[in-house]
Amino acid sequence: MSATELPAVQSRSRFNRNLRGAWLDAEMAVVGWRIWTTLAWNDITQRYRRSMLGPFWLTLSTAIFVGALGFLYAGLMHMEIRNYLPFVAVGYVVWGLASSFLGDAGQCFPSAEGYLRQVNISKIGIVLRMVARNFIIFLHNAAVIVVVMLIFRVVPGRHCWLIIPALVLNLWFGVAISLPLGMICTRFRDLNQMIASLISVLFFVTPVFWNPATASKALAAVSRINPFSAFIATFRDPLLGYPIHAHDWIVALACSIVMTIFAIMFFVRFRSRIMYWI
Amino acid sequence: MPLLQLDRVHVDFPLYTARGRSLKNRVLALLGSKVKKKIEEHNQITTVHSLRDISLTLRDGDRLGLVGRNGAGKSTLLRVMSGIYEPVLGEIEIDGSLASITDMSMGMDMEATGYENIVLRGVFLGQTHAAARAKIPEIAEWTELGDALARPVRTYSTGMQIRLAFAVSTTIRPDILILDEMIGAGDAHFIEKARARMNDLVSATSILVLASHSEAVLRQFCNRAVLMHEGEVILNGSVEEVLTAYKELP
Repeated sequence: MSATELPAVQSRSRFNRNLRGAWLDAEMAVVGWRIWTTLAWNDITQRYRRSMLGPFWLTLSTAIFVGALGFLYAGLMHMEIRNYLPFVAVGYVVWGLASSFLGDAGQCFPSAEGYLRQVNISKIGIVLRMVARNFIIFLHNAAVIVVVMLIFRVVPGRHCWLIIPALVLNLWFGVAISLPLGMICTRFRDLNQMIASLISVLFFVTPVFWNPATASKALAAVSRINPFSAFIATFRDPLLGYPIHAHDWIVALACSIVMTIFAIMFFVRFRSRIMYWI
Repeated sequence: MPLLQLDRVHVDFPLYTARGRSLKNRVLALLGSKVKKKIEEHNQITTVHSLRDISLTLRDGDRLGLVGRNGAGKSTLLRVMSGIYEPVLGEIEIDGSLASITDMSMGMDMEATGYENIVLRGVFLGQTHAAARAKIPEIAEWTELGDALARPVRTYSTGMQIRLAFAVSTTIRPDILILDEMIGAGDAHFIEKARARMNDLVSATSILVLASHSEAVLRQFCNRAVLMHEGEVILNGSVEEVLTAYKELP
């Protein structure tokens, strides 16, 4: 008998069971926080084990990319390098964090198959592991921001403390989008490639190397509805002392809330199927 | 009191083909009517009835042996009991701490050292890092691995890996223990030690579920058994009854 053939009474008890299961999973993620933090930390130490530089390889490539892009575009767009390079550095590093959630969500569950098939561990915890890992990598990359700001003597803005709530929003959104996305990618294995190409398109329509303030009207409009530009702006603007727009914060917060509601509904409904999809 | 109860549990496994796994095909099937039929033929997701209508109640002191041929559903049932697969229909109630050892290599990180793996496994079982680290001396002594524990697990021989995995898996003392096919690898000296360690573990648990093909193992550890065939429990009785019926299976 499949789920669709169930009579009404059973489907109501099924809903209760799903709700209870999702709650227990969240509880396991909280109580068993050591599991996913340890796994995330292991992901990082593994990179260190393979080479002395470890995740700093990523930092190095971030630095090269930021430097090259900064000089190239500063020349092309006739901008002053000491204003432009910090702008690109912060934007690119935060973009790296936000896009890593999209890129890694699909592999969350399949790559944890070895664990998931042997022990009943929290599925939310598996997503938290990926988000935590990418956050640690972000902290490595943040070195690029610090170095660039020091080189160009950029003093953090008066409201630079806002980068902390901005990061919290970014991580929160990361969990909320990765949970359903990771589940869908586990069921439909071709979605991962689609997301990979989507990310490269998103990079160009997100204000990382262009500033919405000086861009054409059309581009500025795109950046207003692109949630990623909001997540980047909430971090970049206070740090570099740019004017802070309430609009960005509202978009980032609204996206996180809407995504969380969707993630909860999706997780309650399909959580029990993850193991059958792997 | 620990309790493990299954009430009319059914498990179906969807078998996805490469096409059934494709979102593109699914979307195309929704859009075009002409290609639709062709795609739908390909998209057929067949389900395998792995477990049918399984009801079991296990209480304190029960040591249940699962007997059946390969593919009878023993491993699936063990995983349902461990909470890994959720039944499509039916209810399962687990009361008490539960641990399952179905694959010794679970959670072994090949790049990490033996020490780190001991801690990792401990954390998986709900221990703090300090508590997990406290197990290191005992495991080091029992496995006779000594200094090798400081090396990455990938440099170990198969025998060493099994010794470590076995030792790490058996440090726990759960209320309910789920075991799949006890290991038979390793040299004679190790097998003797492993048996003694397994005895300690089993006698400390309240409920045991054990799937095995070995009559000797089943007779030694179990006080009741079920015979599984094609996803169903066809006999629930004493170990001897079940072993006799198993031999008489057509």
